[in-house]
Amino acid sequence: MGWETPLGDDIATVWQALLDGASGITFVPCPVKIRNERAAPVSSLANLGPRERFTEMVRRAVGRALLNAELRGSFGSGEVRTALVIGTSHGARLDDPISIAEPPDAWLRGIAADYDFLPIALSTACSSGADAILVGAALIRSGLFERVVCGGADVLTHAKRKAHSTLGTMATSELRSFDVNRDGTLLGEGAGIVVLEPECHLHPSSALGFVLGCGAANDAAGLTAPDRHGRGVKLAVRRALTDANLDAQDIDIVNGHGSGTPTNDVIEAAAYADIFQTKKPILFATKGAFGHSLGATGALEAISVIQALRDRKIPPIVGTSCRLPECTLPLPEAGCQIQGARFGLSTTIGFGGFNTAIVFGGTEA
Amino acid sequence: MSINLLPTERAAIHHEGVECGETLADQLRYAITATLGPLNPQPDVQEVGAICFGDVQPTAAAKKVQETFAEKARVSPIDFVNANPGASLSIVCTELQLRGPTLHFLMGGDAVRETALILAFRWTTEESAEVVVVAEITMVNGRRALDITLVRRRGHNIREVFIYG
Repeated sequence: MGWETPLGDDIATVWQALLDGASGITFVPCPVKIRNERAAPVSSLANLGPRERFTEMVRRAVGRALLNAELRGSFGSGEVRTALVIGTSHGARLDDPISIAEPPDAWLRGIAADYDFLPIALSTACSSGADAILVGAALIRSGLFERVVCGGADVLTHAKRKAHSTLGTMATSELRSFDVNRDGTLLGEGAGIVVLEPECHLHPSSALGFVLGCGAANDAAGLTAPDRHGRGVKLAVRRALTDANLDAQDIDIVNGHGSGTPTNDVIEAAAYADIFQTKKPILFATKGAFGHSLGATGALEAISVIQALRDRKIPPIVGTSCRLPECTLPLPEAGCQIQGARFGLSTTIGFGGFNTAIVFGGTEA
Repeated sequence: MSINLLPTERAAIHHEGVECGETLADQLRYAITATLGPLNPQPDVQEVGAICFGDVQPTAAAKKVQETFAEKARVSPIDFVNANPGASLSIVCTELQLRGPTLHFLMGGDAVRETALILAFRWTTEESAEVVVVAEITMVNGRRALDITLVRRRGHNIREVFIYG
């Protein structure tokens, strides 16, 4: 696994920062008037323009994921058929004149060529990162690829911030996932990459976790509005559970989308209340720490779930102090331990009604 | 590497000159409706998924966002959401109430076509969907072509090609 986040780029260091309740959200000037100038940038790349920053985040996260998987030097030989599946919402296309003139997958082709990987680019708004993992898992299961490097990436830009400010989805103060006082989201940027391989190819000690099941569903409710009854979220989760051959009561932890918008969080919380009626898994969210990184968020959250299952700890939800009444799942306190947890769920919800859920298993699952 | 599409009725029916609106969403909706329509029994819309891919992306909408922001320091929310690559698919799902799994790829070509079919077969096999519409969008001599494959849990798969303009 590898990531570029507003809290850094080393898996262990960033994970500890999450456990410590740190946040990468800070003051980021915007040349036009917006509701809130707070956002979560990857500060090490602040001197680059949107197109270069976006591509560099993907390149770095892919490189780090391969390094962490100890896969250096094994590319280009054609021995291991590998796909590079990356999702993004807009990337740099809303702000950068060169990006808009290029094919929409141009940013990925150069990176894939460096490794002799087959590039596949997709976009399902804020579910893009999770959908890339869904596609990666399907390609592995098909037997056509022995390895898939997959995840999501997105870049913080002025036009996106202005758009969310105008849409009214931007918070006036803090991002408060599943909180009574939430009033919107704050944007971030980053990239998250995981390396998938068939279980039969893995050395038992090298696996960090398992993708057990994936599910998706469309809300069929419009370009921005979620389904008021949460049908899309519930369908996606239930399809993922079916694919994993698990029941809701098997899930120990849930990483929610938790965008912090008034509508999304109440619908998502109510959906979980309906799905998890007997055993209540712990619900956590990382957007208070990473900001809402749009196309990257599903991948960053997938890595967070795998880390939680490995470390048996769950980070607190930054910015949240008073839980929504519709939220029946327990939220983690600082220092939350999850001894014995085996299965985790990550859910993402995107504009256009794209809902995706992935069930992960820990190495002792 | 290839996917065996059989059993498939590979009826490449060219609906030449169909005029049903100017937007991709209109054309996509027409093609999906025309292909799903003859199925008997009709699938439950909650179990109809869709995958779009090809070389047609909402570049005009994205360009409009970029230009308006550069010139007027504003972004139209409508332009912003329409610039989402999956906007057309989302509109069609909303109009037809399709709640199956949906995906939008940012590219075309053999590898993506194969990936889309792998997903469609997987979704129908694992019972996430009864039918998955796989829509390949290309431009042929300046005209938009929609190559629609219905991957079905039961019965033959169906393929039709729609050419607009």
